[in-house]
Amino acid sequence: MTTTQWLLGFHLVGAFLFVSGAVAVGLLHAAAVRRERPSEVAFLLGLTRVAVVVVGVGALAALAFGASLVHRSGFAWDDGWIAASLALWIGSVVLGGIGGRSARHTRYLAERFAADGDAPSDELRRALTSPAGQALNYASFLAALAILALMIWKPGA
Amino acid sequence: MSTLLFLHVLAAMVLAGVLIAAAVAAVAARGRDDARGDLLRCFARRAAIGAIAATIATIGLGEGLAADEDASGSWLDTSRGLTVFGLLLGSAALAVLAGLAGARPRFRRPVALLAVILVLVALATAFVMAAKPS
Repeated sequence: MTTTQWLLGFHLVGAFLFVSGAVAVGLLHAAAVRRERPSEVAFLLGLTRVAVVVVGVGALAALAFGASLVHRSGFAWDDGWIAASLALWIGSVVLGGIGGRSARHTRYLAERFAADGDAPSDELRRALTSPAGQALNYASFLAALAILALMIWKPGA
Repeated sequence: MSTLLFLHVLAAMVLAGVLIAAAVAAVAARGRDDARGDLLRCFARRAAIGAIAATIATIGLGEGLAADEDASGSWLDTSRGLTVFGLLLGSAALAVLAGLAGARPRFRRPVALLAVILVLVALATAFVMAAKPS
């Protein structure tokens, strides 16, 4: 196998960890939303941290191996689809990071309610289904999907 | 062609995501004998059933793409083998074992191990499909 094939393989594995990790975070968060007791909500939101680490590792690997591919394959950073992908990568990571802070505060809230009688709470429910937090996470995910589309169609290449 | 490829990769990413979620839940549940352990095993079982559906979608889109491009090669046969015998049968086994693990504690560790192996098989398949080593 050539070096480019190795780089392409690891670039795609990184992209898989990035997007698939986000899918896993979404599934675990959805499971937390369906629970009533704050202790169960806090427990399930705590598990999303593992998937968030997967997203972070994938994002960095996809960027690092992608940068190596740009260097080796004769593409340029100012090619439209590569520049747009990089901008979307930054957007996805930043939006996901802000959305992740919101989820972390929700977990802290759930832990507080769990320690304080573990009764269902409207405040926790509102935090779990916060439109702002959901919008940030969906926007982050859509940016990642837009990168995938650019990588496949390579407009202008 | 590009639309099929996009949908194929997207379905495969959803498949890997469902498997990662199942693995996180199965690993967290392996030493638990309480209600949270049951909750996690139920989650892992549902995720495994979702993985079966995502695998079928990925295979269907991939075969459509292979026919469209008239693709062939050992990389394609390898990824077919990994997908059908690894991911499809593995996800079915995971769904069955995660269902049994609630009443049979001896299945809990194998369920966690199988879930992690399935994630690795999914990533290995993605590597083979991208690098096309033949």
